[in-house]
Amino acid sequence: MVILKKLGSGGHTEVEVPQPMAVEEILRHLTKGGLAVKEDGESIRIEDVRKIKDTDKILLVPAIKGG
Amino acid sequence: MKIKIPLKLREMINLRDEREEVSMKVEVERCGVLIGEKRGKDVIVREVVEFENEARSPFFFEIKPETLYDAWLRAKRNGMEVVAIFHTHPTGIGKISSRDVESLKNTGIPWVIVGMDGIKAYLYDEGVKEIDVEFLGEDF
Repeated sequence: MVILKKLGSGGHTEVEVPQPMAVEEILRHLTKGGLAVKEDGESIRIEDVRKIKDTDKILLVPAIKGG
Repeated sequence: MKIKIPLKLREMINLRDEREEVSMKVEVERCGVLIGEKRGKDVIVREVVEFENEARSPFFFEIKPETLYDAWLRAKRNGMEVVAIFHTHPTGIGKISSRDVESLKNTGIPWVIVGMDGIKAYLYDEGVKEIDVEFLGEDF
C-alpha cells in the first residue's frame, strides 16, 4: 500500500491506498498544479508517477490560489 | 476550534507597521503562512512567514506548492508546523471568496484573511466555517 500524506490540519492527513489508486490520486493532484514529494525529498514528475512503488510514502502539497 | 495569534503578530498584520510586514498599503494581495502548533483543538501562531504573491494582483493570490513545502520543512525542523494560510484583502473586508473556498478545501488547515474590517479565520469542515480569532498578550 502507498502512503499518501496530504498537507493539512495537525500536520498531515494520511491515507493508505493501493498503488493503482495512488497513481490516479497523484496524477489528479499534479494536474491541479500541486507537488508530490517522496520521503527523501525527491519530487515526482507526471511522467514518473506510474513508477511509484507499493512501499512509497508520498507527500502531496497543494498549490494555493485565492483572492 | 480557535486560532490564537500573539498581539505582536496582530500588529504586524493589522497595524501596517513601519516595516510594512503584511501591510495593506500595497497594491497587491499579500500572502503567506502562519507557523505554530496545535494545542488541543486550538491553533497557536508563533510566526508569520510572508511569500511573494505569484499572481501579483490586488484581487488574487497564488502560492507555489514548492514554497509551501519549503515552509513546512522549515517549521518541522523547528518543532512546529504550518498551521494556517493567510492573505490580505487590500480593498475589501475579510470575507472568504468563492475562489478561496476551492483552495481551502484542499489545504485542510485554517485560512486567515486580513481585511479592512479586521482579521477573520475560516476552516473547511463539511462546509466553510468561520472560526474564532483570539489575540494573546505581549508577554505570551
